Amino acid sequence: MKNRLRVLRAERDWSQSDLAVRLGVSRQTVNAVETGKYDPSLPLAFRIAREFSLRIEEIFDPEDSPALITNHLEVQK
Amino acid sequence: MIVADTSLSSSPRASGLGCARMQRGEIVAVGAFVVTCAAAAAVRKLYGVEALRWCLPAVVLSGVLYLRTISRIVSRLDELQQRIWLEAVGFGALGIFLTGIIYPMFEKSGVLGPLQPLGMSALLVVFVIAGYLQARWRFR
Repeated sequence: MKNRLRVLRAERDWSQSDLAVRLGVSRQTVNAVETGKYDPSLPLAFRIAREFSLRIEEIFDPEDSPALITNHLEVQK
Repeated sequence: MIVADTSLSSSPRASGLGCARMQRGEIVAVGAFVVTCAAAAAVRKLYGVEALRWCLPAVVLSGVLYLRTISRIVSRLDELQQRIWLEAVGFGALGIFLTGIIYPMFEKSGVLGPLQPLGMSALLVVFVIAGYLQARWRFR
């Protein structure tokens, strides 16, 4: 899942550690979410969104969703 | 447009880094388990198996305290760390399960001797560490 976490963090001049402290998670977690290696849980995604005063879908982009929907529709046909 | 508050918000879940630091009571519980096990081993060596029976309740009690401590520490970890530990423990359990299937073949063929409980524990630790490192590497 793609996300804009790095950009949003840079806009606010926050380090990964700063964001980790704000979210109450480890820096490794922030890094893993940023690089797309780990998809956060829904509560953490909400906390991230609240921290940036944005909606979840403005931060996270489920890149494979359109393809999945297309495939699903094709299977249905 | 709403601007995010720039002051650092405090989180009750984690003290800053989201890592679980051991509290004094937890250190005492782990220390008590180690000391009790060592004392029980010493009692067995010095006074024999009969005396060891009197130590067993203390060993069991400190073991339960130790388990509770580990459970509390894990519950304080953040979600990624919990995921990593879960994978590590799963890897360890699977490793022991496979060892239980494969080892008797080696034993029957005479390549290896019977597996002692201590050897099994050591194998479990090795599997869990391997699983931890593998999971940590993946989320690095």
